[in-house]
Amino acid sequence: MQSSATRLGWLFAAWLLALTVLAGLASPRTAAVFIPTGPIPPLRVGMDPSFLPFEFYPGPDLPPLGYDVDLAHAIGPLIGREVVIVPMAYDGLADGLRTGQLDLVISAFPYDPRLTQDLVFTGAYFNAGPVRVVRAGQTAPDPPQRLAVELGTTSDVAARRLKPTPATVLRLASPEAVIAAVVSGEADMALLDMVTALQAGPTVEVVGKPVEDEFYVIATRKDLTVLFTQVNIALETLRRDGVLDQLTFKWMGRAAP
Amino acid sequence: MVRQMGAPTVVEYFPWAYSEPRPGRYDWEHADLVVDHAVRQGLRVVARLDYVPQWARPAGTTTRYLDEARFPDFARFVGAFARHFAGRVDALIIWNEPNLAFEWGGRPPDPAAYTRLLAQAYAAAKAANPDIQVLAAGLAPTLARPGEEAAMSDLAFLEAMYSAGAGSHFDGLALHAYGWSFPADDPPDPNIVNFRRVELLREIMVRHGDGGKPAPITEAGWNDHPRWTKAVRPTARIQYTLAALDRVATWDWCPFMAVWAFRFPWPSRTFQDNWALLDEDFTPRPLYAALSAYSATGNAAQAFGVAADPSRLTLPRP
Repeated sequence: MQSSATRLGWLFAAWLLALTVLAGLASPRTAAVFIPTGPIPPLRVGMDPSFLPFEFYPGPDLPPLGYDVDLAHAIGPLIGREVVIVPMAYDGLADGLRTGQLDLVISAFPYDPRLTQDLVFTGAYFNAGPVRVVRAGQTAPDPPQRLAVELGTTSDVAARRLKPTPATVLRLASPEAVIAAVVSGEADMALLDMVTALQAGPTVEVVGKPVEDEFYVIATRKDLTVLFTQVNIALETLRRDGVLDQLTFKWMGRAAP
Repeated sequence: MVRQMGAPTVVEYFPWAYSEPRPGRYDWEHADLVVDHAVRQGLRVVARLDYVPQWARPAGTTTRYLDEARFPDFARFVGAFARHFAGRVDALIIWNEPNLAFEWGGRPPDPAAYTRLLAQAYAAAKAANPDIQVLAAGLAPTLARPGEEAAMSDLAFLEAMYSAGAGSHFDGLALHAYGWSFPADDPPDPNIVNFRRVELLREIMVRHGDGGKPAPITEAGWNDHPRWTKAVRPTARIQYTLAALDRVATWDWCPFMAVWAFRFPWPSRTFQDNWALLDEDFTPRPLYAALSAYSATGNAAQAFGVAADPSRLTLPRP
């Protein structure tokens, strides 16, 4: 067990480091936080390129693309690390961190309190939960009279919990059918997951925050405290500078409300 | 919630290691709780038995590893289980998916060895409780090629079981019917894993003179995880599951279809989570509501109409 003095020493070091990082980030956004004093290993970012538009292979023998790939490459310069994308099956990402094969996981990865024994999570960079969608130019009814959802999805589950209760819930077979119902006026509102809603095109509008949260976060190992601090601060910088909104616009066609 | 959903039968897993933590010392407390609660709800119980206790296997082996020298220990446990739960448990499933190396303790699947295990377990169960039904293990539907160490084709494994004399050592065959990305009516094909693949297993049974034995589906389902290549959209998961129930109702040899799985105690954050009918906090998923409607109407089309708006279904194949 560490002595109190030792723990305080570490805490002070961590605080000092945080100040250093903050000072670095206060400078122009492209500036690196640290001046390297020796070879700095690349930042190994694990992701499963199977989930559009966050990470996917655009074709055979091509490197992965997507929101998370861009996010990783935006974080790298802010913390002075070259980024290496490590494709890995989704089921293995947490173990990839635990076994030291990865430094970060950026893969539309949800916050999971059951993993916090050995992993830590940054603040959310995206909320993929179900969100209200109405026809362009309309306001969201409260409560909706005819709510459309895709049968069986998280939006369907959210609709069953929605308060006040909609008069009618249309459970349809596909997101396209849901969007068509809103556009035609058959439904006065829909619930769709945020990505589908943002990608639905100009005939509909996304209204407000998700009715239920599904946060995507960045994960790292608990002992990588410096890296965790760096990434959290980098993420806030990217949020403040509008980079996260730009990424959402780039990959989903519009910024999240 | 199972009863409220309208299911008459549950297939429940009773790990050997939990009920016999030391050789010959049985602890039925938890198993009694589960079985008695199910019986009080009016549910029939089918018990799957496997999971080797530490005392019955060499150090460093998995809970699926059972040396042939320990087969009598397992058979003794099966007999004790059959005796203890007489009148409360209807049927036993002996082991799980022995055609996978993972389920056979990391060794290549061995249908002859499994048949010897089944024979000993069958004899012990019948000696303890002649009324109990003994089901041979559900086999994992696989397209494994001959000689693969990780798995053996379910069709080849069942043929080899019969060649090893398994036919006189089980009252019925448990079936595992997974649809992957195919609809419930996709025709059976030895080169495809789909729901109706179980008809091929049934043909093998009939060919070996076991046409009079039942073959319940003890695991079945479709998965709607967005990252799994064998998954389907959530609507299709519901529609295919209901259609499968309609089809099973026409098979006089299949007394029930159990949907895998009711609920997991915690999320694995993998596609496995999307087999469940409930979230870990017991929140029903839409398939649960659809199955409840099915049990009330007894008809997939009507149940789907309750679950969805049938006039707007745009799936390629109903």
